[in-house]
Amino acid sequence: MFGTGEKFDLTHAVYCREGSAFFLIENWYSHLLQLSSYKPGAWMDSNAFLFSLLASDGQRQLDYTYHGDPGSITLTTMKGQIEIIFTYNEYARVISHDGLSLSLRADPYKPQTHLNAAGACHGACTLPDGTTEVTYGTYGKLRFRPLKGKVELEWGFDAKGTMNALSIKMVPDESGELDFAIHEAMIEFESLPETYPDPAELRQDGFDRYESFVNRVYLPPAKGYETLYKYATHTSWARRTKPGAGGIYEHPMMLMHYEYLGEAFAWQQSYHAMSMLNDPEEAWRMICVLFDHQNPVTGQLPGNVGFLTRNAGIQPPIQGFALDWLIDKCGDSFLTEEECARMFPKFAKWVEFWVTYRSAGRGDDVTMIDSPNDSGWDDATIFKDGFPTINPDLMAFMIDLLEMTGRLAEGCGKKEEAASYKARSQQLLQTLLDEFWDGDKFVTLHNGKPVDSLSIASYQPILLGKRLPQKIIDRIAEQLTEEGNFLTDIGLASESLRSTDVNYGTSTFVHGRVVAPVQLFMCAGLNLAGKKKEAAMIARRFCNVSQEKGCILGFPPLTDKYAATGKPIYIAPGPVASDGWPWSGWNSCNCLTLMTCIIPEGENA
Amino acid sequence: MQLDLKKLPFGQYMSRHLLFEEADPMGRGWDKGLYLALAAGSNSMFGGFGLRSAGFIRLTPLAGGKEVAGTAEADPSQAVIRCKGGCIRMAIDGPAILLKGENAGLKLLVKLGRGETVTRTKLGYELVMGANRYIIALKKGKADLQVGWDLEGLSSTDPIITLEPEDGVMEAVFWDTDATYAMPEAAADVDAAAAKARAAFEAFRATLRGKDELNAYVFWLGFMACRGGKLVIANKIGNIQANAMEQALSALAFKDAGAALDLISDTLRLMTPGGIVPAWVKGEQILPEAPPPLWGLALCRVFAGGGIDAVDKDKLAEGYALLTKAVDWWLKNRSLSDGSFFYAYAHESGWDGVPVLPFGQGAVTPDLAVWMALNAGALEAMAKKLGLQDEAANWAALMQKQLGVLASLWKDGKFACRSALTGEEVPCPVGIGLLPLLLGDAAPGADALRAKAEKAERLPKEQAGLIALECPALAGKLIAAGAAQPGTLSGGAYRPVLSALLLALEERS
Repeated sequence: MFGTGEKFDLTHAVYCREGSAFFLIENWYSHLLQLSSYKPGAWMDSNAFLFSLLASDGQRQLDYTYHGDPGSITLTTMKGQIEIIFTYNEYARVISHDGLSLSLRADPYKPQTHLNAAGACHGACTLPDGTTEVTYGTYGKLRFRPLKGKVELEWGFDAKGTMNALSIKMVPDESGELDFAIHEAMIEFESLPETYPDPAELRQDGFDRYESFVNRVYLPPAKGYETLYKYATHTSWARRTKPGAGGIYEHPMMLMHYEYLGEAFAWQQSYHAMSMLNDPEEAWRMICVLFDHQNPVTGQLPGNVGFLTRNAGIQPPIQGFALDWLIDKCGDSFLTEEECARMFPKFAKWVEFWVTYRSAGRGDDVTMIDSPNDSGWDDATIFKDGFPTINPDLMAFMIDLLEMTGRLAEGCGKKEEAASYKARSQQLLQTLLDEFWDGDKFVTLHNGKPVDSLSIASYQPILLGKRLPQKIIDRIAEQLTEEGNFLTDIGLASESLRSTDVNYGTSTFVHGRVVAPVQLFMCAGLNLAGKKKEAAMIARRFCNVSQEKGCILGFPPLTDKYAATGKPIYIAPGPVASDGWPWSGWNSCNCLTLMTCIIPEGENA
Repeated sequence: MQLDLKKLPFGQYMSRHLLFEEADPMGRGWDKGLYLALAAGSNSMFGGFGLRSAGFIRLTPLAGGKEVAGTAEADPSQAVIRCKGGCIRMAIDGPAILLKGENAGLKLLVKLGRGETVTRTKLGYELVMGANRYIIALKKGKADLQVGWDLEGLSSTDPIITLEPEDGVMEAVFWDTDATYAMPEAAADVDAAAAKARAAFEAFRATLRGKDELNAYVFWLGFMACRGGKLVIANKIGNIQANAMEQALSALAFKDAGAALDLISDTLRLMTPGGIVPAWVKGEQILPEAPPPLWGLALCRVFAGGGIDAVDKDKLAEGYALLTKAVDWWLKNRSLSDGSFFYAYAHESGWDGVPVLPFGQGAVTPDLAVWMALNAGALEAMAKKLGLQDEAANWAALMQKQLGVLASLWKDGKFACRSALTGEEVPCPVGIGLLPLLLGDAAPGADALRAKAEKAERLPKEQAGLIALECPALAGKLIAAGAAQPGTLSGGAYRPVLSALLLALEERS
C-alpha cells in the first residue's frame, strides 16, 4: 500500500498496524526510513526516540527502496532484502536471509538541529541473557533479542558526558541469517517469550486482522472511491490500539496520529463510531469507550487518552449525536436492556458535568464555556470576542445528549428519568430556536451579545436534522450549497470565503480551512434533515480531494490569494508530503462515513 | 526567622502555593518583582525552569486604586506585603492561600501560556492551566478583570485582575484545585492559617535529627503530595520531580523511625508491577528506570539501638513487604550467578556522568554492594521484629554475601569496579570508592578509607554528605560550608535534599 514510487509513500503516511506501537516514516530530507513508537506521545519534529534505518552488507551502507502492506514492510537493496514485521504484540521482527545488517541510528530530526536524539538515550547494555536493552527514559525502552545474529553497539559522548551518537546494529550470523525480535515497553518488560511464531504466521496475522476488521465493520464504498476506501480503512484500522500492554487502554481506541498526536482523542472515538455502520455493536462500543476514563467525581470525560495518561482537557459531548446517527442508520437493536442499564448512569453523569460545571446560570440546561476546546471550534471566529460564550453548536450536542440519555433510561425501564431527559431536550431545543436563530444562522453569544462571525460553526445545529423546523433546514441548506460562500471545489470551508477574518496557514484549524469533521457534521446533519442529495454533493467534493491527496485532516480551499481581501496566502511546506498536515484517523473515519453512507444514500434518494 | 524571598519561596509542607521575589539573578531579562507560583507541572507551560520565571501571577500593591511600591517579608507561617498606608498579609492552608489587605489592594498581572484561559465564573476568577484550576475568590472588597483573546493562540491575553478594599478591607482566597474543583474548608482567616502553619512547622522540626531552623524550613517546604504519598520534591519552584534517591537520602534527617519508614514506604509504593522503583515521579509521569537501591541506609540507622521498637507493627510489615519486592527486582534483573549485583547503566548508580566501565557493559561496583548489604541488614531487623526467623537468616546470608563481594573488589588498598559482561576490572571513581565507609568497620580497609575521606575534595554534595556520616571531620566541614545551601531562586535553586543531609550531619559533626 505504501512504498517507493507508489501513489503514497511514507513521506505522506506512516507505516503502522493495529495493536503495534511501532511506526515508520520516510524522512522528508534524508529519505531514510525512521522508526519510533506512538506511546511517548512525542511530536515528530521534537521526538528524541527516533531511529534512522541503515542497511549494510557488512562493508558498506546500501540504499534501499521499500514496500509495505498490512503484513510487513520490506526494504530492498542491491544485495538482498530485509523484512520488518510489526506484530499485535509488543515486538517487531526483523528478518533477512541475504547477509544484510540493519542498524538503528539515533538521529536528530532535521531541521530541528537543536535536538540531539542520542542525547535522550539514557544508556544501552548487553545483559547476561544475551539481549541488549536501550533505555530512553520517559520515551520508553527497546530490547533487542537476537534469534539469529548479534548486536553491535556504537556510541559517542561529548565533552560534557552527554551521549551524542548511538547505533544499534543487528548483524547476521555466519550463515548470513538475520532474525531479531525488537521488544518495546514504556515501563518495563515482562518475561520475554520462550519461542516466537513463524514469520509467515506473523505476516498473515496483519492481513487477517485488517481484512476481518474492515469486512466486519464498514459498509462498501460508493463507486469510484475504492482507492480512498483502501487507504481510509487501513488508516483507521492501523490506529486501533491494543488494550492492556502496560497502558491504560481498557478496550481498543483509535489514535489520531502516530507521529504527532499519538493519543485517542475524545470525540474522535464517536466519529469513528459513526463510520462503523456494518457493525452497530462495535460502533456503540466506540461511543462508549471513552467512558472507561470518566471522572467518577465530576462525570467529565478526558480530552484524550494516551498510552499512560489522560488529558484533563475537554472535548464536546458528541456522544448523543453519534448515537442518534447510529440509531437512524442501523436501528436500535444493539441497545439491549443490559447495555442501557450499563451506560445510562454514565451518560447521565456526563450530562450533569455540563450542566453543573458549564452552566450559563440561567436555571436551565443552557451551557456557557470558557475555552474553545469545550466546543471543538478552536480558532473559529465565533470566539473572536473571547469568553465566556454561549454556543448553539454546543447546545445542539446537548439536545442530542439529553434525548439519548432519555433513550437509555427508557431502554432499562427507568420511565420517569426517560421522560425527564426527553422533556429537557425538548426545552433546550425550544430555547435554541427561540433565542439563537437570527433568520440566517444560529448566533454565538459573548457576554450576552451576538458575535459577528462568518464561521460555519453557526450552522452546526443542522445535526439536529428533522427536529429543526423545515424553514430553518431549507435556509441552512441554501447557504451551505451556495458556491463561493462556504462551498468550494473541495468541500465546505470552515469560514466563509467572503470573510476577511480568515487564515489557511498550517497552524490553524477551523479559521477557514476545509477540514474533515466540518464535512461530517454538515453532511450528516443535512442527511438527517432530509437533504440527502445536497449532503452527497458536498461529500463527493471532499472525498475527491482526499482520494487525490490522502487521508489528511484538511486542506486550504485556495492557495494563492484570499478571496475576500486579495491578500497572499502563506502555507509552509513539509516536513510531510502535504502542505504540512499529516495523515489522520480523523480524516479516515469522516471519509468512511461520507463514502459508505452519505454519498450512496444521496445518490439513491 | 525571616525568609529571603529572593532565595527561598514562602510556601508550606504539602502545599503547592509559592510566593517569591523574582530577582532574575542570571540576567535573563525576566520581569523582576513579587510573584505567586504553583509547584505544578504547568510551570513548564511558561517556558520551564531556566527559560522563564516560574511565577505566573505578578503582584503589585494598590493604594487608592493606584500602583504603589511595596516590600515583602515572610517567615514560615505568613508573608506580608507592606506599602504606603497599608499592607496585605498572606498565609497558606494547604490548597488555599488566604489574603487580607488593610487599606491596600493588589494588581495581579497573570501570565498564561498557549491554551490557557482566565474567565469569571460563579467561583470567582478561574484560571484554566492544563489540569490545574486556580480560583481567585474574593471574600471582601471589589474585583475586576481585564482580558483579551488570541484566536489562534487559543489563549487569554494579558489578563489583569485587580482586588481592592472596601471600607479599608480586602479579603480573598486563592485556591489550587483541579477539574474536580475540590476546595476543602480552609482556615477562617489569615491569622488562623498562620497559627496552623506555625504549629505544623514546629511539630515537624521535633521529628528531625538536627535543629537548624532554615534547613528545617527548606526540608519542610519540600514535601508535596505525590501519587498518594508524601514525598520530597527536588525544588518546588523549578523542578517538581520527586527523585527516588533523594527520598532515601532525605530519610536520614529523621530521628523518628516511623517518619523515616513512612518516607521510604511512600517511595516504594511507586514501584511498577515488576518491582522497579521509578527514578523519579512528576505528577502523572514517571521515569521507570532503577535508582540506586539505598533504602536500607536510613532504615538501618533509625532501627539501631531499639529504634525499630517504636514502629507500628502493621507499618513495619508493609514496609518489609515493599522493601522485599524492591530487592527482589535487583535479584531477578541485576544479579549474577556469583551473588554480586550490577548496574546496567551508569545512571542506576545515581552518580550521573560517572562512567565506571565501557559503554554497554554492566558494572559490579562497591557502592551497590554496600546498598544491598544495608538493605539486607534492614530487612533482617524487620524480619526478626515480625517473627520471620527463616527470612531473617536469608537476609543475613545476603548481607554476608555482599561483604564478600566488597572484599573481592578491594584490590591494593582501593576498590575496583568489575564488568558484568567480561569480568574486566577498572579503578573505581574516588567518591564511589569511599561509600563502603557507610558499613563502618565492616568495610574492607575502613581506617584507610576514613583517612582518605578527610582529604577528599570536589565530591558531589550528596556523596560528600553520605561519606561524612562516617567521617565527623568531613561533616564539620560540610556544615560550616552550609553545602551552598540554600541557593538563589531561578539560578542555583535551593535543594531540600541537601538541607535534609545537613540536618542528618548535625549530630555527626
